[in-house]
Amino acid sequence: MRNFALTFFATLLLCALLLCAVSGTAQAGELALPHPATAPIPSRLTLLPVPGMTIVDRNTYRYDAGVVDVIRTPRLERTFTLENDGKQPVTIARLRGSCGCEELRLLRGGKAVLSTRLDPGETATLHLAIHLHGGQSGPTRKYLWVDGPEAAGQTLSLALLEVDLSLRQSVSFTPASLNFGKVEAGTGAALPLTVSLDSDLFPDPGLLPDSVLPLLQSADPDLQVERVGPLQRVEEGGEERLRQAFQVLLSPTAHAGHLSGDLRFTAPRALDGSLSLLAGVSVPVTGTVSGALDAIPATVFFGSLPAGKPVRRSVVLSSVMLGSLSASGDAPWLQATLAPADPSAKHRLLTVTLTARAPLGPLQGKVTVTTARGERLDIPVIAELTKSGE
Amino acid sequence: MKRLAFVALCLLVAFGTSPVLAANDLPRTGSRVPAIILPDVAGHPRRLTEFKNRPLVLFFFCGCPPCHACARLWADVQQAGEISRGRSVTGPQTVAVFLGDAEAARRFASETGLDPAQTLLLTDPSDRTGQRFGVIQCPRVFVLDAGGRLTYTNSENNSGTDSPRLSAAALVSRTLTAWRHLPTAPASKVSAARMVP
Repeated sequence: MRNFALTFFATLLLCALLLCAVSGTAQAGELALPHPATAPIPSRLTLLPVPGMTIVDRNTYRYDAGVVDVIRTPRLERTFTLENDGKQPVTIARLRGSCGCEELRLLRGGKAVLSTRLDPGETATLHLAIHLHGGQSGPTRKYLWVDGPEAAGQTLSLALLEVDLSLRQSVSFTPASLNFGKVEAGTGAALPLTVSLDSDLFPDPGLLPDSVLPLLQSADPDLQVERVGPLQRVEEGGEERLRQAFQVLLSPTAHAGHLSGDLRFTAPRALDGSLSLLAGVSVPVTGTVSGALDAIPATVFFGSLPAGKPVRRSVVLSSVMLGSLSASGDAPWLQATLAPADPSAKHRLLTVTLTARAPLGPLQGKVTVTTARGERLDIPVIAELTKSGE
Repeated sequence: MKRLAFVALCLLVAFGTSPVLAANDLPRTGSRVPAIILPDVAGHPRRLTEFKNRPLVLFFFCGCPPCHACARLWADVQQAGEISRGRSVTGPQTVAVFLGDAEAARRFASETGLDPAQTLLLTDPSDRTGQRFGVIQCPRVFVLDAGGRLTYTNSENNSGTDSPRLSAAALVSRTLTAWRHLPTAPASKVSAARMVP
């Protein structure tokens, strides 16, 4: 019995030691390395030190980018150097990031390459860009893997770079998003929006010409933005801030259908030119404009389909003027065909066709249905065409 | 022999509860996914077992621009009635796990227009659940059948071939296609297999 217990505890101790070894230096509360299906291999690929970088373990590096302001730095870019300091050649097969916001490039001799072989002593450049727009405030960590060729179905991880940053929003919106809800076509609507900015973005707003003051712009002609009153200096949570009120107007002539867009914050460069305020900060806008014309479904999702064959989907239109409709697609791969009008019917069928010549890849378009009175209904169309058999 | 068996048992005890995942532990196409117990945005613990016998689309979002684009398009899918079409199941059939706190999750859902009636919004600030699912890139999606088996995911690590780097239109199109391919039997006729242990 005693031997039994001794064996039990000894084995548990051994297991605990093994676990510590494979866990590296991860601390309590810290993210464990997300290394699924990734086999570490003995390699001599190292990331050359730069300020802010620490070595976590043999193949893992951590870079602290500090506090990053999304207005001043909407796109964080950093360059690192990879060196083969071993005695064998090392092949870098690809780079992988943990977030869709990461853009990674591998450079040899200043030229971008998808993969490369590094002989002993050779170096390659790793260029990282992180798009920060839309990120939540506070600390975050992004991962970047340098992978070798696959072996036995497993990815060989040559190096892992963890990038720590704390995101700061020097511009905030109240509300954070605009929802017009359901708006009757022809009536229009207006919503208030307030932008709050760090006071140091504009040291003396009273002296600034209108062209330098913060603006919101819309890519949708049905949405207009008006500035309401002057830029004001206010106190928010013990901090001095600047506040600008806006009115967001939905045009009475807006197309019927689902509203989905953004208002972009486009404050121009400061007067001294030192601070680029052109940042990808935006306010999402949603809602539905409903009118005499209605479509079910409101958006046509074809899904993912093999290319080369025409594919059709039906949309049921309802309107008080079903007999005098016209419909057209906004792309050469998109056809819209209305069924013959039946005076006694309450609905009319619209056939949306992806043509056989539609290109491969993701497709986004729209069909516009117009009544004789000029009312328009937009029906977005989303699809992806793949090679047959994919 | 007894000693050998005992050592094996100890190894099982130690590594069976280990937070370090081997590749084989990750959910793969055709296999069941790990259990989830995460707080919703009101702080109440929620489990995937609530979706027993119902197909499900499970997203992991971090709040980056590609996550926003994907969620906004999925909100359009929800609004177009694509999720419930041909199915008798009511209630949310989308679970969105947000890799952040409740406030950020609420903001993300509001900004992207995810339908609260069709979406269960969970928070995973520590990313621990995401790691158990092999979520190393975002946005990530897992389409589960009524038996809790994975039928589609956009990851190279879960025996799918797609990359999370797909554009939002492509990712949503593939997710919707996988969803449409799931059996449309009413919930009462679906096999009584439990979704997760």
